[in-house]
Amino acid sequence: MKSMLVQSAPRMIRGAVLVFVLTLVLAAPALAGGRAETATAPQRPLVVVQSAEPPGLDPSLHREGPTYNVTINIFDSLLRKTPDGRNVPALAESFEREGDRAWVFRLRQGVTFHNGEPLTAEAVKFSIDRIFDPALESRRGNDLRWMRNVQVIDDLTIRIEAEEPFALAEHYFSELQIIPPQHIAEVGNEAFNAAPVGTGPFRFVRWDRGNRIVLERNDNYWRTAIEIPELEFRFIDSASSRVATLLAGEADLIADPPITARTQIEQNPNTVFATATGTRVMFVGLDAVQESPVSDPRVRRAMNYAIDNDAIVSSLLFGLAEATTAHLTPADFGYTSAVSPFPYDPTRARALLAEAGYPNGFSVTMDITSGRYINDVAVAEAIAGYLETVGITVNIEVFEFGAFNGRLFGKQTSPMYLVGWGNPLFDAAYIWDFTARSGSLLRSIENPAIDTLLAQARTTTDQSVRERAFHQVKPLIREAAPSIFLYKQPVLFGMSNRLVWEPRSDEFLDMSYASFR
Amino acid sequence: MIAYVLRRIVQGLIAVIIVLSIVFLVLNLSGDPVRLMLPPTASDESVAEMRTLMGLDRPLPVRYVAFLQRSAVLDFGRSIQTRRPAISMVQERLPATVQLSVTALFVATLIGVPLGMIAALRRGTWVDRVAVLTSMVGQSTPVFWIALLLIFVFGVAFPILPPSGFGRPAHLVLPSASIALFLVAGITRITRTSTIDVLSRPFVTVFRSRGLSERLILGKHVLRNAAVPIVTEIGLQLRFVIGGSVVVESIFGWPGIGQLLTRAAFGRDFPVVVAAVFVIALCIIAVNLLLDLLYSVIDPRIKVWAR
Repeated sequence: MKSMLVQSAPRMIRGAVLVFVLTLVLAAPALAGGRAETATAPQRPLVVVQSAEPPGLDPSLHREGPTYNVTINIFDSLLRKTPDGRNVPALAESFEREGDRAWVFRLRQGVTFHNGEPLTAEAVKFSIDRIFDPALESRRGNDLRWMRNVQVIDDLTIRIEAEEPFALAEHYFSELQIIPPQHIAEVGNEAFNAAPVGTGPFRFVRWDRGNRIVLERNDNYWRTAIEIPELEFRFIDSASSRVATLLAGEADLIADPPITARTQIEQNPNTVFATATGTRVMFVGLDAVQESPVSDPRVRRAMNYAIDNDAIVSSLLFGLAEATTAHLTPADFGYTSAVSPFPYDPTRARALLAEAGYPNGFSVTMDITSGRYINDVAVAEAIAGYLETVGITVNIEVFEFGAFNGRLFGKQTSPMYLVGWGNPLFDAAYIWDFTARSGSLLRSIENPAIDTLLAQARTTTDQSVRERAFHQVKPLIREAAPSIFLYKQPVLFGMSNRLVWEPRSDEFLDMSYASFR
Repeated sequence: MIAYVLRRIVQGLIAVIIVLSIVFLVLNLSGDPVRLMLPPTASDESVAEMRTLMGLDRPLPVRYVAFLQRSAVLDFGRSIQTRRPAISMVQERLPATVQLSVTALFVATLIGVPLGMIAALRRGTWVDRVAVLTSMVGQSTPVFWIALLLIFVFGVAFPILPPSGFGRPAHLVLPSASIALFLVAGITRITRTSTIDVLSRPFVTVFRSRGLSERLILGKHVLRNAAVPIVTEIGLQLRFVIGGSVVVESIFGWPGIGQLLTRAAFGRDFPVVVAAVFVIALCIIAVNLLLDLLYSVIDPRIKVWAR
């Protein structure tokens, strides 16, 4: 028995080789066919490549950025955010505010989900209630906890009340995606999370885990005619491979190419480099709560004077970012040009440091993460370089993003940390709530005057009152300098020439208005 | 022989338990999954609530014992991110990784063994020097670099192959070549050394003086005698195949275990990381056992179970 095995061993190898060669021969037409397919371009679906794959597609469970990029194409919400940031009626045909804490929405008639189920006020109520259903164990409740008393008035009318006047409510109505109750009752939660049904511009076709999600045009879409017949999302972790996939003509839109790939993409005759303003505000958080030289406001102002932010923007971000003053740009609600940015003034920085009792500077640690933000390590090194010239020695510690986050939210960071914070609402309240309020998630400053004004702005829906409060608080925040204020990071895209699409500044990949050239 | 196999299986299981324990400890020391799961606006209370819900508030030893008990019945829990059973997420990724690894190993063997033998026969000539140089370069170049190089040459500069993706046979070429190029180096080197050693043995001279054809001598007698170290090398390389696939899958968007593992590790998705490591460890141990048994097939003088 054994000797037979031995004798047949070379034969087995020969057999295996034969099988392999045959496989190659058989595969050859497919190899060739693969290219022929891409040559007839209009046949290929619109291919969008991003880094992260959604964990699931049920909007009651998931609202992460990469997931929302996909679900925004499958679902609609009561309101919809226009590319310039206004909240306009969507599934709600119209809405009116009752007092300062209730909204009545009238739904559009004749809208159906992709499975034919009609859109009703019940479905809207279900979409809210389900998030708080303990059986679902959703982690999204935090976003919508301010909602109270959701009332179905008739088949197409729904009334939603807020716990207290809430200025940002309409932003959340624009993100509250409406789901079909009957369908979910039929297929169950798990199946819906894997194969969602909405009212949106595209319907779900298939999901090859780890590889791609395929959507097809919703021919009965209520809002507008959709031009793209088939939309495919692919997920590639490596930024260089996303660029290569675009350059090879196998993708039409790639998210977050490295900023250094800009020339390569621009020089290719078939691809273009596109940017949008973005929502991510970059800054160096300064922890004034823990005892360190940084807890002195003079030191924090000195750091702001010591940095040439404009030079960082022009050289390390290729001029594509916009400098912020106290975290805001003119696009944000609450911005006022009455408060000017810190100029680059190392002499003044040295004077302030001397005044604070550090004529010879000091040494401090800055936590950063690598590869998460555009050119992050280079930016951190530039900041350390500038601070060195006024006598502050910065030791940079690089963390993997998960570990960095753990330290950040565990309030265990070093006194300085380079971070980007999304301000998707383009509203001062949102960003300052994290960077300038006492006891916020990010450790920074504790200043009662700032807290009072921010609280004022949070609990009124009167935009002029809010704006006044913001204009009052902005100079205080500048003086208190909870951060080294940097810039708003742009969103970068690579696009194929055949795609007609304008990136949105809120970064979301809404493909409903895309078309082919 | 059966006793030997059983003993090896028990040893393998102990190894798996040790691997699982290390992963459990490292993951628990490396960061908090709750904060990554919740939106940044989450309050400290809801973080604490979630931690209780996930059992992360219990002391480490208690969690460790519970963890081992559940692992014994292949229950690694549900993924924190997708909420699907972790083990089935790994299962559905297994075929893609096996496809990639087997192709890479196969191609590498197909190229490496003949190359090594030719180098041994033409020792000292330019053929030998080229083979040695190639294997040195191949083994000292990181896999991710080879992968990017291949992508830019064959995917972008001369676009004859898709630079990423999965599904068509063409998609398999660049990822498996990236791993294979690394493996070829090792296999060539070991085949060369081993063949040189066998060629110097008296039986070769005897066969030659008897007038046996060179093809028969090399193809049958020399190769089989040189085979044991080669098989050992291929077995050892398997770890690099898996390690390489972690990198290569992320670069090529290949939906295998390596990609799943990388994403899960970055997202602190503990159950998926553990399930993936478990499956990988199991594969490596199983293949090594098979290779040990294969030795006695190649060379009947070797009886591993008689040791």
